[in-house]
Amino acid sequence: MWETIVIQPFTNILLLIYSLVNNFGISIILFTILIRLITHPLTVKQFKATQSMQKLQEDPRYKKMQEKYKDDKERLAQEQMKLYKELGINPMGSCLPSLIQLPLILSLYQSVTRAMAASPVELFKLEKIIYPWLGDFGRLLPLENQFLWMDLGQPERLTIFGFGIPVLAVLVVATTFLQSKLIQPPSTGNDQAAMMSKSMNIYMPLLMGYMAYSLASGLAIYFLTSNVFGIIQYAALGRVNWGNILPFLKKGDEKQPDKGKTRVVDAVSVDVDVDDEDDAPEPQKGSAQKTSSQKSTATKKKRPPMKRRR
Amino acid sequence: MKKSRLTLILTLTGLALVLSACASGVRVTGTPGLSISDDMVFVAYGNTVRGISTETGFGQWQFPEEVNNRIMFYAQPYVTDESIFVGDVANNFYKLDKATGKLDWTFSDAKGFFLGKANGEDTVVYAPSNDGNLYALDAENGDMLWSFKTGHYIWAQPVLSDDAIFVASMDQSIYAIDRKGNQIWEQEQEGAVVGNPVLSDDGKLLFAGTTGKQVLALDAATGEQVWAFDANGSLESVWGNMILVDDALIFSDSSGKIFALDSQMSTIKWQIEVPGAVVGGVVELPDGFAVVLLENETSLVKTFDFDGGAKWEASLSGEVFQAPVVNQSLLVVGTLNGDNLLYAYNLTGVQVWSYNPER
Repeated sequence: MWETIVIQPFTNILLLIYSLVNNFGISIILFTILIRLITHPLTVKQFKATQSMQKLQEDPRYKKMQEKYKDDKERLAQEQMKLYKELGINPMGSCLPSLIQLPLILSLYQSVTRAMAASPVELFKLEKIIYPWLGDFGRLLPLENQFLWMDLGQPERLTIFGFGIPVLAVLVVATTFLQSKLIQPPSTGNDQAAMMSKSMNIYMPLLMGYMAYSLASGLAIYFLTSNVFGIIQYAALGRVNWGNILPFLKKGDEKQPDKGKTRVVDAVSVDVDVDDEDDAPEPQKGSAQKTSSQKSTATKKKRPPMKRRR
Repeated sequence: MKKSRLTLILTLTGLALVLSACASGVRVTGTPGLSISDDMVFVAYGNTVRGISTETGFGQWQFPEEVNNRIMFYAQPYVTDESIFVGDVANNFYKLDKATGKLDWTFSDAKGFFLGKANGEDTVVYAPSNDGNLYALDAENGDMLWSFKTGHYIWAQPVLSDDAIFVASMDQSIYAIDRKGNQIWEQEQEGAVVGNPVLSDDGKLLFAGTTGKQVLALDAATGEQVWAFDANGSLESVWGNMILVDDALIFSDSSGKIFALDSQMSTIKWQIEVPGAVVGGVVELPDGFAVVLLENETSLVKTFDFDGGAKWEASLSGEVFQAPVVNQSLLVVGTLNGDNLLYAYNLTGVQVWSYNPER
């Protein structure tokens, strides 16, 4: 079913592109961009939903309920749902587009693998899924597997002075890292999320690099294109935080002296109710560090108006 | 915190394993590579090459003795009196002792898989590789004598004549090279040659079937096309091996049409149709020929006399993408995803044994 509905059309589109450009490396690049463009509306939706969720996490009501009901998960969930409803936020809004995109990206991966057909059985099966009405693509097979210095069916190595350098794997690691860093939102003071994000920034590039190192270079080209296009896509949406990789672009007032990390409170207009802060329960043991960090972040910008009110 | 990091690592590792299918290196799907001698069947499939008794169907040896998950075999072994030569998809090519499976030497300088069957003469073995090279190796020690580069994978077995070595590459060209690795001629055609080309008895014509829906006869000396046959446009891709019996060239296409052509004139001697794709091509029997039809997850061995008259047939589970192998008393079929890896029939169609390495 999935094969017929998604993988077969994907593979045929890839072959159609190949029939036009007659270069499998370029076909993979164009095909990846095409699929990323088709899924662009989902990406935008995901950005917006993520942005709303980030703003929500800076909402004092949200922070307050986190503290208040931290020992009553059920109640916390109920209160969160109320707040989501009130602010018109769909908590699944950032997950759903990803869930829809993930199978498409996996299918893209599978169709590239399918089209590379490195054995007679794979080639025979490839020929069988070509739409006859698209033309006599059978005569194009197998696809030309040389692109620049690469054999697209083999793991890529550029031989320099007798050493096989995995250039694509290095580029995939670099661009995956760059992409993660660039789209990483300013920390909201949630240490766990920050730690998670930091771990992702380390492990994800390594994982992608390992795959680019060990799998066929055609797939590494797909990873690389996808990363580069992802960065461009985020940049076009104004969601790239250049300050994450170019520290001199960070605003001075956004810098926090401790550990050189940035804690930014932006975008969310919050009417701080002094009583709210006063009402907030005292931090309990074990969560003191987190709470204090959140408080210091929140109070940094808010203090002057509070003083004025007084 | 530690728990969430662990979850992240496990998730990413899981994703890596799913995407790379638990394998380091390039994943490729292949079929059992079969060869046969008088007393042994050799099957290269999965992580091992095995020697199996033709009499009992019991395994006699396997190579390597310790299973190595990083190497996979799909190429048909090339068998000589005392040795077998076979390559893997980790880019290694081996010489093994035919009786014991002991490793003699390994050639590891290729940059691509070995999926095609090698050929040899005297002390030289010619190994076709997915890196587009035909490697000429010293059969005694595995040293590379020379290599000849084509533009794509080589899956067909090289054909040897007195004057040349013929190599069909997936770059949609057939090459003739001399015994020093120099090109004599190159002939481009529409479509690639997957099955083994055949040389006429007098060595003057070279026949090849293509995925471009043609069967060609080339002048072996010059490479010029003598004739091309496409059954008035009704021929489908010719994937498998063809045979030459007297002056009749017998081959099948992927739609199940089987032709016998006059090899000099390309006129049809007879034509029959079977209900299924014939991928592996035709194999000669002492008194006729056999094909294997691919149906939905099952296959059918069908045999015919040399005039196309039907003889016995046998149904088996699994998909067959390769022609069976035959000796004087046995026909052996290798399957993909079947109940057994191998099925052996005597030449009257009675199943003699089946072989499943997991039993």
